[in-house]
Amino acid sequence: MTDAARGHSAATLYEASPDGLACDPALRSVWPGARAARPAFTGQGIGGDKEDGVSSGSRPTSEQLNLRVDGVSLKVATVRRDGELAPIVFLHGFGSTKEDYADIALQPAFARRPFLTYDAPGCGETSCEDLSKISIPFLVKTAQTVLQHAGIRRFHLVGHSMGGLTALLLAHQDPGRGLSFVDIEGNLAPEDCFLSRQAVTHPSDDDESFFDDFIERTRRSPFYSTALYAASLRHKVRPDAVRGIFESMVDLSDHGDLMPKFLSLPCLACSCTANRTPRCRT
Amino acid sequence: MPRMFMYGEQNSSLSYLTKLSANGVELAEIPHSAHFPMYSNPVAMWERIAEFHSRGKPD
Repeated sequence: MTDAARGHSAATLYEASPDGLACDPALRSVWPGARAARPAFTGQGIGGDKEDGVSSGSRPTSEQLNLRVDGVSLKVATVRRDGELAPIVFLHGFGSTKEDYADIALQPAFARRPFLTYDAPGCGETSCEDLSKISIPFLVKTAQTVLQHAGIRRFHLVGHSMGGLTALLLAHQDPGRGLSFVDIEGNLAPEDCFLSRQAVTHPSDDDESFFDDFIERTRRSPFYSTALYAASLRHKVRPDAVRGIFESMVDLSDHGDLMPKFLSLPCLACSCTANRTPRCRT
Repeated sequence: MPRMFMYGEQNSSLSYLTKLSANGVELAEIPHSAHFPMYSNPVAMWERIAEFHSRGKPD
């Protein structure tokens, strides 16, 4: 099924101005305490006005990338900031989008840190020609293709849930490139499929119906932020992408030897493997 | 590879946390959070990621 691109506006986030308190007068008139000054992101069309994929300055840019993965056409919605250091690559979880990490542009601790984040196929503003092809291996290939297109060779990984699983397989398949890995409840074991295994425990032949019921079960879950998460699911996820993602997550969590893969990711800086040097902090 | 495993305090019963720690993975438990620290406690999430990055010299 064709995934129609969604028409979100681009620049919606703001960052503090260099001089601290400058602000759009129109905003100041309705919000006297406002400190926001200018868009944190600038929008660019496909191809943009950048040269060699490198943007000028340190302001994040949002950009749509025309890519093909396994013969499937994608328009991948990205936000990135370039710089001299190795970038952090953020991979969001199922039901989330790249905006989970947009606030890095406002975090002083990451002021000089380049980053790249994008909406996975089936999610957010990224459009995908064939949603039925989406699976975790497809998301890994998408990540590899995005990184190649962006000219990123070495990177720090941050991945959440589905994105954590994608990041793990990305780092495992190409161990010479990952510099560090923050895994935010990415799948490592069968017990991690509390969302995705619902494709098995609550099956339905109708993707829309399954997704409706999934959202309702999630909304009633007695865990922090699940109701908030459930409220945005319909906006952020294409129902026809859910089955392939969930079934592959369950399969990999049950049979993919994820824990050994995670524990054996090599440490580049000291030429060891992490499980040989438990205190390695390079 | 320096690795951190971040989880919400409501998921502190994950069976493999001890195994991760014993194998050199830094654990980051996020208070007032379950599976979505970026929604429940983003301040703590960013602080732990920043601290983790500040201690390494991986560039």
